[in-house]
Amino acid sequence: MSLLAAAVFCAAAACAGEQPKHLGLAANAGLTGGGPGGSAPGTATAPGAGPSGVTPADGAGQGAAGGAGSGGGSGAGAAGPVPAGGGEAAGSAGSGAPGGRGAAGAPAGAPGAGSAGAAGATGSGGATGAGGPRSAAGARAGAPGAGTAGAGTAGAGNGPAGAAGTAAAPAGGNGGATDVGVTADTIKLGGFFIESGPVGELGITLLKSVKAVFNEVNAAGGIYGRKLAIVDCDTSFTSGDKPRACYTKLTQQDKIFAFAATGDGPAWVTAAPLACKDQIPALWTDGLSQNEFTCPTIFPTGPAGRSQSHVVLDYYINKLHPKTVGILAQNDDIGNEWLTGAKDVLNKYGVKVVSEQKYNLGETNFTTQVTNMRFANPDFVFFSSEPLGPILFQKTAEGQGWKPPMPSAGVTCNVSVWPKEVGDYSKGMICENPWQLTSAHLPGQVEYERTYKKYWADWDKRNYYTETMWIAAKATVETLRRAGPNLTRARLLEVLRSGAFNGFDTGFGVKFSQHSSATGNLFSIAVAVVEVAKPADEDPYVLLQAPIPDPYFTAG
Amino acid sequence: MELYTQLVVNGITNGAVYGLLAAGFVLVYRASRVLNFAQAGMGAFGAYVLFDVMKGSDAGTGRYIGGFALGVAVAAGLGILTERLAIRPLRRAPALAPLIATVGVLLLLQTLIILRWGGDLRSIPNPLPKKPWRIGRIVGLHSVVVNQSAVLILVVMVLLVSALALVVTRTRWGLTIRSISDNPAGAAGLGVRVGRVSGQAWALGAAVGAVASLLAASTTILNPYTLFLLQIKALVVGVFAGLKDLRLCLIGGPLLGVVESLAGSRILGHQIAGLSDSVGFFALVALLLLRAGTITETLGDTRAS
Amino acid sequence: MRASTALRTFGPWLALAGLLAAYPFAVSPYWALIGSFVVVYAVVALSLTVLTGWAGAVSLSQAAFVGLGAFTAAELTARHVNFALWIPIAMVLSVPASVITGAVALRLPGLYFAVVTLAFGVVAQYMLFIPLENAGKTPVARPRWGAVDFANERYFFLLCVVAAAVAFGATLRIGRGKTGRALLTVRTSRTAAEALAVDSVRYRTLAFVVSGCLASGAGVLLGTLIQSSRSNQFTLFASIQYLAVTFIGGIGSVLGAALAGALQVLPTELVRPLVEGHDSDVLRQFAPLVQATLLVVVVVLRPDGLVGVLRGLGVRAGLLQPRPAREVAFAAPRATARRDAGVTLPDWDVAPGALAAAVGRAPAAGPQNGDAGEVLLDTPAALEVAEVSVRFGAVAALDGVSLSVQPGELVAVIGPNGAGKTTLFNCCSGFLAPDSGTVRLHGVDVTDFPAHRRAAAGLGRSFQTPRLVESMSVFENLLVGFHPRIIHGVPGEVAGFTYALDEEREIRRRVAGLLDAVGLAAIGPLAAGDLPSGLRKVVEVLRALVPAPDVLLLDEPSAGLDPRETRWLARLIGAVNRELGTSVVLIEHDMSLVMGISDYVYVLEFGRRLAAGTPAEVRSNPEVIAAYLGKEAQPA
Repeated sequence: MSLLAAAVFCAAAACAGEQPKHLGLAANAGLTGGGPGGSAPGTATAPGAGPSGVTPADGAGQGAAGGAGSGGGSGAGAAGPVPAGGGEAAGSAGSGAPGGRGAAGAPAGAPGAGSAGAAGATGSGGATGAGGPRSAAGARAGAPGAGTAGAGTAGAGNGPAGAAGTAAAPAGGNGGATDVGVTADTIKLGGFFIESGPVGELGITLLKSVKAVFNEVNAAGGIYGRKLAIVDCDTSFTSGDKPRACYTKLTQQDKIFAFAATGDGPAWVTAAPLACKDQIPALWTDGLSQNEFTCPTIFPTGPAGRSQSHVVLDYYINKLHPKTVGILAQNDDIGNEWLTGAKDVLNKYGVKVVSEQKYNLGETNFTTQVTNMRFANPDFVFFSSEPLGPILFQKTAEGQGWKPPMPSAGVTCNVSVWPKEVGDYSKGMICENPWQLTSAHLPGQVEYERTYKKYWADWDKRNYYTETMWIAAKATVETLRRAGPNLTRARLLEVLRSGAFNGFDTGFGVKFSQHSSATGNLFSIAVAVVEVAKPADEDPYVLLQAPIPDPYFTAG
Repeated sequence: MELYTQLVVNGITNGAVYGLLAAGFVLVYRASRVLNFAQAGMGAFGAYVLFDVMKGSDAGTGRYIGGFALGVAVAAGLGILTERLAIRPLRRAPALAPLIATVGVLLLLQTLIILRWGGDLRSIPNPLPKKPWRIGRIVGLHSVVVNQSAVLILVVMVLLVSALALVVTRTRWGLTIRSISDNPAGAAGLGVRVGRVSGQAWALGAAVGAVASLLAASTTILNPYTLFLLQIKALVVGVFAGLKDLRLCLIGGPLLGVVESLAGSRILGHQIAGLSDSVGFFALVALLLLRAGTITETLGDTRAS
Repeated sequence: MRASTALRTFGPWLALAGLLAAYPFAVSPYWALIGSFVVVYAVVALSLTVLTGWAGAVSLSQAAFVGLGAFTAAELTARHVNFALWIPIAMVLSVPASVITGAVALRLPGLYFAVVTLAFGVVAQYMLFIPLENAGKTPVARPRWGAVDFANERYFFLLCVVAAAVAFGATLRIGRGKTGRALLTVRTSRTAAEALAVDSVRYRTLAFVVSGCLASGAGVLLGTLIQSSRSNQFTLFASIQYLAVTFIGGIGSVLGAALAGALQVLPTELVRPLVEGHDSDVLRQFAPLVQATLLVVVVVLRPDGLVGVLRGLGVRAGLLQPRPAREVAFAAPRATARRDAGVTLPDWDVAPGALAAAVGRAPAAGPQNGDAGEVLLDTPAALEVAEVSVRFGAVAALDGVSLSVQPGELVAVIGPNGAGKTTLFNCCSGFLAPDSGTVRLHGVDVTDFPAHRRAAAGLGRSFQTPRLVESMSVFENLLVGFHPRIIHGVPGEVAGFTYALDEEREIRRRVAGLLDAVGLAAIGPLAAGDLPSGLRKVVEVLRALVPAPDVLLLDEPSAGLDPRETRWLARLIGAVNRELGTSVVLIEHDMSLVMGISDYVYVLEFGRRLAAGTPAEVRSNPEVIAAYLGKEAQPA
């Protein structure tokens, strides 16, 4: 998998966020969590960190499953007060999440970034001059948690989506054209995808992932007799002209029923506020933009960027007890989001930041940052950044003959190109990962590979985000199934906000924890911790701590 | 103290690439009065050729040298082609036209690169040394180091640019170049084969720029866009050299590198993000303000505006 | 105005307006949105037309100005400022940027301008846009005016059209008026422009300011259209993209700008059905490849872009016709065959006094009739050059040369090639600063005056090779001569104030009168580039005397003219000298011309004054004969 792939795509990740105000999310509060949960590190069992603690059933205790996890490093730290009754800590707590963004890789300067581009031009590549493609804007979950009812039908039908996604048409017919984009035999969903430009080759796999899921469902008869169609619109990894045009095209020209599975983070950032205003449901978006968390009709997935930093650093500090740290952060909202989570934990444990180096995306020369960091002499380095910068940083550091005493930690080193590029220097790095490693060969992972290969020949171009879209597509199918034959937007929203997806098993070793309030939604995914054990291997990682729920996702 | 010394050392070696790139397009400018915006694209293309040669290999030195030569040759070829097909026909057009033509060639090359190799990043397996020399030890500054490859690039830059400067000042061919840059119409009138020399200069300039691009790509990362960004920075060095004096590229490159390096550190206690990237351009503006008096209007209104 | 004329003039515009008004309602909201993009990008391209097409300055930071507009819109959204103020505020904010950048770069050769704009763009990105974005200043709201909600794509399209119409209308007026003519003259030849009292730096700055305003205004619209503003939309590559697309559309042309807007947007939309919904990877890079290739092909083969292609195909729509001063084609000066207009110089048939009447000067009387050598005490010399020296390195181009021209005198400067004659002229005009010595105009020391100021003070100049704006008509070229007399500026031009219109009408009347007086009315509407070389020379001289200068420097006026044309010119020069009282200084090699009309002759050799005297004296001076005249000038 290439560097850019890794760098580029946003996972079903969180949204960048600002400090949620009433969340009581003071630095440490985010760690309140109810219930048990965190699994012990290393035991891949019960990735059940998910559901427990998050069971909304009685509305109580949602929240970051805390994690008592035995044995070190439970992500969630102290079990905090469990909010009584219904509270949800505005789960959407903050989660910020930067989520991967944008191709860090794309070096600045992709031609024509942003412009509608003559001839499709060069518009793509988002990377633009300076800031690289980016992702989200600081989104913030700020959703206030006015405790809503989690209403959880906890666990109702939370099994892994699968063939179970289909449903036969009822005897009396499915009601025909029950809403915009719905007819008796089709459901038209829409999405933004990266189909052209520098990362087109990689971006198209996301669309293919969705199509693979839909093809299977359609082959088995569809949902209540309706086949699923995905209307893709090429946004080439840009924000601005293309997504704006695509938005109007999909909604006013193609007249889709809902947005499902957006495969282009930066593009969705432009369109999310519009979708919210027009109240068009948007399912399983990547949560890069703040607006996605403060909109009742948008259903973004996490984890928050700050959660990613949080989990990793919490584990790290508990395990290795460093005293000082140097941070390399990309200078944009996403980098800042990761930084927020990091600082929360660092402050909590009293680890001193002796150097904080920022850089703009597109930078390739890290001699200054390495030098400044080296002279500050931290115990370890934390990378609050997408892979490209840190990779070059580490290579430069090696070139200056410097290595900090303790291994480094980062939020995006879970993409294998990182250890591959950096080599031995990266050995021992500790990274976050949103779900189980592919080496676990869980049934869901196996099915993903099998199905994708059934339809497409470019399995080697797939990346982390292809998986994300797979999950999103599966969740979409399940959502439509639960909505029933009388399919309307209102019904769809009802299903989604009912908490039905709490505990939804992604098939990749984690489950969703849902959080919906009057003003917004969040489906958080848990965060795991992995280590770079063998950089040279095809599969360099080992699991250190199984996924635990989003620590900022508090109940309360 | 040591910190600043290290930053200065960094800057000097970083600037090597700028100096080389600048020398390349200054040469082209002198020979044809056109600023070759496509130089980065030509160099990038050559770097990708090198990548093709080296990928999956064991990064042997012989292979690398061969691939390097090939990459440089390809870039030189692109230079000649551009000169012949896009620049020469525009010799009598206003200065705007060839400038746009080189921009068009740049876009074309980038698109071709993406078509052939994809737009994501690659790294080139290479035998260049990765370790540092602890040069600071000599003067008791133990933390000051310099990366061996960086020194290599600096040495290459000094040798190549000096050689180029000598060629321009001492050889007959160089004399031709100088006569063209001082008085194109006159030179043509005296029977100088302006076209042929111009083509050669484009080849040579592209080759020199390619050396910089290949070395930069080998030691950091290969990607069609970052090389263009380096070129933009090198423009500042070119202006410093008055788009004329190659020896000033020798000094200007490292000078810019040092300024950028220092700008990225703490200034009055704060680190200003984005300053290191912008500072070169502030310097450019200051430079031009200072030099305004010496850049004279050309009375002939030829390529100048 | 008669009905048929009115119809012909306004008809097409009304039809266009009708089409544009009906368009959004005839198509889906999506295509209305696309239409808005086209219109907005057309205005961006228009800003480049003014700056790069007319003023000849390549900008690599147009996207930064557009971004400035977009982020202004975002900021003003956050502050809940009325939409009506957005565009004006953005324009006002753009002015310091263009003025400061211009101040740095516009004095320098054009390449440096490009580089400085590049610097500006990069700095704007890193130090303004990214921080603004990090601070969350990104969403932009569509305005509402009463019951009209501009979130409706159709209404917003109409809004864009109205704004664009204002922009295009204003720009067209600028282009057709004093400013446009001045800009084109500056682009063709800065020295010629300065010699016509056009402050080239000021005009280029003006073009930059207008361009910046257009771009930032378009930026406001763009931000509002997209409803957000992000830094990665306004990078160097975006600027390059704008330039490329404008170029393909036709850079010097207002119509080209409109085409460029379409080119920026439509290809993506047209390619969409081929890229989307398909499982093949084939077309993925197709579009950028086509665009890049097209750009190179267009630049090399057809620099005037699509507009040029359309013209070449013989499309005769009104807007395409290069009617003089209507559309300015960006074309390379054609070194080879021109489209020869097939006109020749008529015989001299100028009534005495007609010239003076045409130019607006009473026929000179009294001592101005140039008796050689007579100097009236108390009247300073019209032009006095004292001990001027110029060195280029080790070579002395001029070494202590002095020259004096009395009011109404006709003086010739002769000498072998390389004697320093043109250098002397350049010192007088102000294109070259002498190392020592002074230049005085009517006793006023103008040695430190910039060229355009000397021209405004009454010093005219024509050049050895004609520097006319080839794509403007002869008439329009001559209008430039009146530049210093015109008071109105851009506001007057754009708004069409009465005084501005009056001035324009008056100078047109004068030029028409002048052409009539010299019997050249027929060539008035012809493009200057289509004239045979002899006529161009004549027009160049005419242009120099349009403002009735006190002193006129003519550099080899007869070069390239056949004997008949030379005679004609001699009579013109004579008439100018006698009737207008203009002091004339002539550099000439044609001895019959020199000896025939001059009152006084100076001879230069190797940068030094070799001799001075009446034609008769000089002709028989042995040194002069030896150095220059040779046997041919022996008294007959």
